[in-house]
Amino acid sequence: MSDKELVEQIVNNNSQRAFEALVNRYQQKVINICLGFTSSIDEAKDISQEVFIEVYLSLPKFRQESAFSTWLYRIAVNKSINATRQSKKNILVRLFTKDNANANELFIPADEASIPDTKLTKREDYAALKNAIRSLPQNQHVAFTLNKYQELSYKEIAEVMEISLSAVESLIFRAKTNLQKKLAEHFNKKI
Amino acid sequence: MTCESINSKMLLYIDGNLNHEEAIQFEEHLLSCKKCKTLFEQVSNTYALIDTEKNTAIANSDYAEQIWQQAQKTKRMVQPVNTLRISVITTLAAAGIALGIMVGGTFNKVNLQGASTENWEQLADEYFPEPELDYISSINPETE
Ligand SMILES: [Zn+2]
Repeated sequence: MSDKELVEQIVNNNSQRAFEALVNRYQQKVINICLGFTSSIDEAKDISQEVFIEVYLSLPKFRQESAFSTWLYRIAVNKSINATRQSKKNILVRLFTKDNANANELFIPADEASIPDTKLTKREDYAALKNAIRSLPQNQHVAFTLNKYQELSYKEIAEVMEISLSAVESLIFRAKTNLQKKLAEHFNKKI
Repeated sequence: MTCESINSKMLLYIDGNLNHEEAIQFEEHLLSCKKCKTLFEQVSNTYALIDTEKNTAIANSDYAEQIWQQAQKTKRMVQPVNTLRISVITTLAAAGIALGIMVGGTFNKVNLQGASTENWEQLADEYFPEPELDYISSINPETE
């Protein structure tokens, strides 16, 4: 069944089967988008669930002007940004209130870099990459995530972000150059 | 190509974003420069961990069903069928807090403390969801 047919069944009949089919179709893609913004896999999964709940609640308002997938990815990006902004804010709030949180919490410690079964040095390197990704300017961050984590084409990214193809190209180019710079700094420090 | 320019192009090379000529120059440089080659190995190994992370983040088999259950619960809370079940006072209090959040801005959350405050905030959010900052509709490619 097409996305459109499933959406209609959910809106008209509140069909659990149609909803689960739609979720199964897109769950991994949405989790991948969230991974581009979060520090841990668990956090990404939590946000992805919120994405689908919002999708469910907003479906009656979805006018099918864009593809369902485009609309879904937009919600995933917006939710991820809001969630990570919120968790950053919480840490800042704690920094300025009595319970002194550690400023380093803003960054992902190596032991939390979400790749299990790998050596600590590797996880340190990955934490450096994830921190570099999270410190990208937001547009670059979004374009890079959709490209690298979600493997969307430049054309699809342009649709999700509502920008031109050449803007997408330039954002991804700059994102990768910036990340490269940070990684080089990280490895040069280790020598 | 200089070491510096190689240094800025590694991720682009890995993802196949360089044109044919640039890619060949890149490869030739790595053959003759040990320093860049070492860095390239470190960078590409680390970059590949993105795929490792993605392959680890697999949804549980009951993922969809769980979300369905949660969505039904949320729907009932967002659109209460029987409004009599919720006291008017609760609603008004939630409205007050929601308004406070909107007016007071970010500092509000700093001042509100304690578990009951959290409950209130949650309640307020359910009744008056904070308008999501619609990031995507506000993108301006010129600024970034
Ligand atoms: Zn070199």
